[in-house]
Amino acid sequence: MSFAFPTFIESMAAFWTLLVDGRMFVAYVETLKPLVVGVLISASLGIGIGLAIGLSRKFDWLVSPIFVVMQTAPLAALIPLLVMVYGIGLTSKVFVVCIMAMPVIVLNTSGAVRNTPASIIEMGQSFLGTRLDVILKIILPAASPIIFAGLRLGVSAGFIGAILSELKITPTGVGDIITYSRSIADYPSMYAAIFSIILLAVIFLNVLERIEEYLFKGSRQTYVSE
Amino acid sequence: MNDKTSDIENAVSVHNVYKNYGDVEALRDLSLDFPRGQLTSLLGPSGCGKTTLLKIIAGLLRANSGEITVNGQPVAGPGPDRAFVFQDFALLPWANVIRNVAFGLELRGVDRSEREAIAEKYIGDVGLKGFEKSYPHELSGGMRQRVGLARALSVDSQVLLMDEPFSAVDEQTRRKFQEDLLKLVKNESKTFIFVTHSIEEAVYVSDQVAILLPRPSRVSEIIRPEGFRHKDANSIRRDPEYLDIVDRIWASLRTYVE
Repeated sequence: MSFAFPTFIESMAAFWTLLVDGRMFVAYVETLKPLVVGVLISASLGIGIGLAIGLSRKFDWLVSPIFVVMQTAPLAALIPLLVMVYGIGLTSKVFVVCIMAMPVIVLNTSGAVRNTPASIIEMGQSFLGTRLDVILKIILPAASPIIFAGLRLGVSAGFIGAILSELKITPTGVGDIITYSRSIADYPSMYAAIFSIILLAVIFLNVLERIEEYLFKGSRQTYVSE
Repeated sequence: MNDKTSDIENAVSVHNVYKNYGDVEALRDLSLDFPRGQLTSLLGPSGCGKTTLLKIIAGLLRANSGEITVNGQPVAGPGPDRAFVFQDFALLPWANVIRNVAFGLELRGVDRSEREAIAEKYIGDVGLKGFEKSYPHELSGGMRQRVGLARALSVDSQVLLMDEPFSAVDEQTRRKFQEDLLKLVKNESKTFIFVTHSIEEAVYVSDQVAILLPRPSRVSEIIRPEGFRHKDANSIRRDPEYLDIVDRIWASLRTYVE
């Protein structure tokens, strides 16, 4: 076996060491800052913009291309530009997280909103629902399963963005453990850090799924029409 | 309902209505009156604009020109005087039966305890007692449409607009529905406008059948099956006048069916 591929046991031992000596916690305090801020911005702004795109053709025409570009742009190549404009601090890292997380949230939300069955919208109108009633009580609940699917994808992308920003901008937090361990050939610690981020992402996605189940117990069912 | 509106003989009147979808002329110079307290069917082959007309009356679509009045008031959009029953039921899949039935009242701002009490009454009336907490996906097609009907009844509108309400339920349920509808017309002082493509169904339930012919739509004939209206539900289907009218309508429609 190559020196660069430690055994699973070695990596887990390094993981334990990082936990016990507290380095992991210190690192996550740093890493979670851009991650949490970025994911919160992406989720709230993303759902809002996605809703507007789904409701208005004009807004769709105006704004959609931005997110298609964001989704397809080679992010690693753009990071130096971001750093030139926003420096090496938190702002740039939040941007990286948002660029990773937001497009999929926006595009899923707008698609789901646009695909709300026409008849339940007509139903809302014919029973005298206002525009706001129709959006809050019909369109959003109807779109929520796909919006949540977008959130899950967006959050996973946000995790990648957070680590990418720490590797590419300034080595802090978990990115620092990865970079530093690699530079001193402490590969077990490097893999332990990578493992920790995967573990955190899986736990977070599970929590998100629980929230979704709690909020929309009935809406997982398909539409009832022949 | 005040005295003035109930004096008007026709609950709904449609005069010289035109409707185009782009270059396609859907309705041309269509005029039709809907007598108060009666059931009028709009019958015709598919693509003849029956649903378009119904949605224009509902205020969900706008006519290009022409006049639509409900109780003498021109229609400018959906209103509290009309309630709609949808072909595909249009139930909220995430809401249970009682919330679906009460949804019309919820949108009107009636508070929860009051609207649920009203909903409960109509759930009982349509025969769904005990299913208040069920979700639409747990119900059969016929039961789903009963929910749709209860929702329309619970807002207590004078005019009930029904867009092929029984076309998505099985044949036996459909017959039961038609019998129930006859009772409903008799017991409730409401005006029913009923879109269907079934000749038998139209003749069976209607006080007045308007036959629409397609491309562009206009009313070709109005038939009032009166002779057997007083008979009980079971003997109508064997009544000679019923059978004659069904035959006559088919004779005039058959040339329009490919």
